[in-house]
Amino acid sequence: MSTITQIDNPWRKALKPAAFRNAHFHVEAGSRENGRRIVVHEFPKKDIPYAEDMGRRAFEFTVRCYCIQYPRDVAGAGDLYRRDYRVARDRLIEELEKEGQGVLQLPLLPPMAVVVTRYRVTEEERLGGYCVFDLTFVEAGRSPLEQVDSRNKVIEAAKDVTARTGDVQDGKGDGSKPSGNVEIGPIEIEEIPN
Amino acid sequence: MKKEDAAEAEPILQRTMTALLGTVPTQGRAGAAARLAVGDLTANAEVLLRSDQAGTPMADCYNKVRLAGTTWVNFAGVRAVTTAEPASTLGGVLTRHSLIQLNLAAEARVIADMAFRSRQEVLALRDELNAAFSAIEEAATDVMDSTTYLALVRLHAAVMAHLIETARPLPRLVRFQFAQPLTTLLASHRLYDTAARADELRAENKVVHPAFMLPAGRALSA
Repeated sequence: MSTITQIDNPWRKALKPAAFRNAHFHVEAGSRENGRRIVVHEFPKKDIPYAEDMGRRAFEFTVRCYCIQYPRDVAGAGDLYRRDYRVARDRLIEELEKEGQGVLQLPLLPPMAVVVTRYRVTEEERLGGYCVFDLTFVEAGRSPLEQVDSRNKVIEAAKDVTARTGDVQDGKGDGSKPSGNVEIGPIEIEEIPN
Repeated sequence: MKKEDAAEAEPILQRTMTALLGTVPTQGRAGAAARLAVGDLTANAEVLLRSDQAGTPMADCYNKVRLAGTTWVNFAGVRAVTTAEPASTLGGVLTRHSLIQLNLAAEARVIADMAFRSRQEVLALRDELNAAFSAIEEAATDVMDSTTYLALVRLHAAVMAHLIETARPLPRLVRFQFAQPLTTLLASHRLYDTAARADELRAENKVVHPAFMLPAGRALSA
């Protein structure tokens, strides 16, 4: 008798282990929320409003995930597949409380740089060896005041030109440069005996 | 490199190196290192050119001269000397192009650390470099040297992007006109609400005596 996993499903092949930074977890439900920032202008004595588009809304992720004890410690499978579920729980809490952005990978959504806005971990007396996390993330984006490091780009490009020019002059070109025996334009080259 | 090519390339190299040497400060360890490198290259120029080994010492010379503190204006002067050199053989043209490319790379390194005062200053530099890069890029395409061409285009783009980024926050130079001649202190106070920039006005407008500044002149917008 075959099982459901033996049925060929493209989406199943695309499943990825869920993680935030390097902390893995099982996902019960993960949602991504987005839209446009619309300001609706309604005018007195007019029937037709004007919906003004102010740009894309930041992505928001709401994830319900859990850590659960595994029947045995699986070597090389990370913190998530261990008899003590607290190892994975503490690792995830540690990552959630770190400052700055991190990469959130959900099983079927593309990875994205996010920041944690809030998290809640719940442990119930009647469900031993199991804890539930409710996580909220928002897209990290980038600062509008971010400086482009144009100076280093200039230095790298200048080094590149210097190295390339030195090589060409030394006859160590990559073949895209005419060798000393190729004529250019009307130049007549003939061997002069030493 | 063939003998007749080297015979044409050598004077080009010698004259460029002489111009380059003229920009090196006469004091300091870095200046001494630059003079040594340039002297070594000029002394062995013919041998190095004939054996296709001049590239690395040439690059080394430009690098050491830059480290010795040569300014962009000086490098631009050296580039003008090299550009004016006539060359007809393959070796001569190749050497001249190499010298101009190395010069432009050194200029770019100098510009990366330059501090500018006004936007006009940056824009003037941008226009001059645009012309210099365009000419050498065209020369690289003429000899079908695609890798050098791409490296030059990358450097050109990086320098232009850097200059645009640098120019963005800088103040502009604007013209002013007062009704009568003022002292620089008073003019500074009228323009900027502080007398502390009187010396800046004096330097910018080449004022002979700070008590009598001409009523018209130029000043930074901020």
